[in-house]
Amino acid sequence: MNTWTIASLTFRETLRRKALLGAILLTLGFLILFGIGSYFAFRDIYGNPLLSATVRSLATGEILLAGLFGVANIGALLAIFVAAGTIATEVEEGTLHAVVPRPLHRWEVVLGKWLGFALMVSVYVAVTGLAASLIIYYLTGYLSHNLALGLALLALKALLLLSVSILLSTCLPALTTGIIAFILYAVGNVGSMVEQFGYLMRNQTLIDIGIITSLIIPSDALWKMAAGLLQPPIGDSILETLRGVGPFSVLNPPSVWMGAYSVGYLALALLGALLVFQRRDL
Amino acid sequence: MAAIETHHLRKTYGPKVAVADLTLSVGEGEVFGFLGPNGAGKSTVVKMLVGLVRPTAGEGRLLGRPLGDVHAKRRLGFLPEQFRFHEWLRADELLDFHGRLCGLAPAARRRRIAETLDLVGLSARASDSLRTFSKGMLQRIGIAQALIGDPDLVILDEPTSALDPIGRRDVRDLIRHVRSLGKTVFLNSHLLSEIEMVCDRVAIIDRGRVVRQGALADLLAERELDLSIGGLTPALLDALAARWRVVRQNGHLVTLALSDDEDAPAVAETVLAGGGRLYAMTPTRRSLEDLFVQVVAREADAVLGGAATPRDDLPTTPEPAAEESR
Repeated sequence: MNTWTIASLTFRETLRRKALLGAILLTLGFLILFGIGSYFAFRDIYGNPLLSATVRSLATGEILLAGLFGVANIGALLAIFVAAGTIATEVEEGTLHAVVPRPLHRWEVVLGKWLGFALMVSVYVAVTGLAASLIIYYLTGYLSHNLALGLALLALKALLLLSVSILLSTCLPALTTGIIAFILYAVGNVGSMVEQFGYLMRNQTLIDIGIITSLIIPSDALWKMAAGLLQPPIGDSILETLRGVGPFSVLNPPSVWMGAYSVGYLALALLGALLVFQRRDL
Repeated sequence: MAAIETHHLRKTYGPKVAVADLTLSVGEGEVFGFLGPNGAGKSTVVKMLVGLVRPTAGEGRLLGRPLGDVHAKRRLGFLPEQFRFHEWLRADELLDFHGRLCGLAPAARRRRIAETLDLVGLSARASDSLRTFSKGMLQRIGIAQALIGDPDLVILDEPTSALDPIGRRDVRDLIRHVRSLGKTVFLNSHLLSEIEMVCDRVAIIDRGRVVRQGALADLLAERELDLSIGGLTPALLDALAARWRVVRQNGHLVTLALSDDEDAPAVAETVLAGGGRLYAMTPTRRSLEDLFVQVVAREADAVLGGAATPRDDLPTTPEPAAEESR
């Protein structure tokens, strides 16, 4: 009950503060540009009789995933930056000094904040991801059968980074939290690219580096799982390797174990945040 | 049952001792003043009482339950010293949020919001954003926030420091009103005149220990008598010292401590009988400030080996290692 009270306050705060409004306006701009770009790209691709259905599928996948890549990353950054300051700043400013002495457990405060932000970030990713998918559906007629699961995985990527940021925020200042969370996120993205090159070049070292990075911060593994579900099927195992050439398509989506690892990672980060805040002096 | 009770409460941050050893008792229904110089550990004590800071050692009870207990917190109202409320909220929304956290049902919440806003004189600003509030209004909405759950114990941490004289008077009236409802008020303030005007009992703390505690009336009961005596001999001084405590003596000026105003004529008689000429005799009432300065200065003397050093020059180094540390 208290958790829900805090969550609803947190959610309303993100709505009433200008930050989310800015994000929404920029996202609208992004979706409009994405729609216009896709329109002209598909006009050329579908207008060219020399391109096979496979190539068209590949191209459709690339363009759709380019849009969703944008959605996933804006969602992730939104999660990092709304959460980075939350606990640290509210301790510093004394906002929490009136809340913690209320008849509640401290973990309810952290869980409430997490829920409020999680709701906001999930709604953001779901709505913008759906919008990007519908733009592609309108232009090409392609809509993934796994749309819901794919978008859920995209949201999970943002929630993972949200949990890490909140954990850091319970023990570090806002700026430090933002910087560390952002670096982790960037490392995750780069490691994942290295891994994809590894598969393409059949270089085990690069693949291993990618896997280790995914274990340190599995945020991009979630993106790859989502992309693997959302990209159009090709139905040709040889041409399938062409996916490795594009910047967005995914050649070897991570296994379901990686998904489980990510969920466990998220849960542990959140649990850590609850425990750290439970013991800390304010 | 005491509203607040602490036994040997101690808080250290690494080698730094914030609160050395605090034993305190606040009875139900009283307005209790908590005094001390800057850096005495007052804020840390308050934070330990309301569960923001964990004691290193010792124990405390709030309304009969251990510190941090959720059931005790249900009956607690707290105004933090340095607070910033969610400024994007409206006044009534802030109170609604805190009312929810107190577990008030919607109908009770609406009633309490109207009551507390009225009590602090902010009814007309109920639906204004806190961003538009002045410092004094924020302080008042803070007090309304502390009272929203109809608490039995109200802990106010420096409630008047941001206020102008009118605002201070309003807060004093509020505190008296809260006491009239039978509630306990714990007032942390360094404004001695405030404490003197509203408190029933006080504790003065210094370096994390209680150095004086008691009913304000008892602490201030001792009167002083300033005398200007011509022909003051050691024998006469001894005669005075035999019956009254000599607070200070400088040349022909003598200050005695009296426990009763009725002693003044006897003092005059003693002076005259001893051959002294009495030029002036002025009774003075000891203010809380006199007591505070005296008690805190004595503490400083004890630590610094008798040097009469102003408080501000006191080193802020931690207590000597005589403290056992955990």
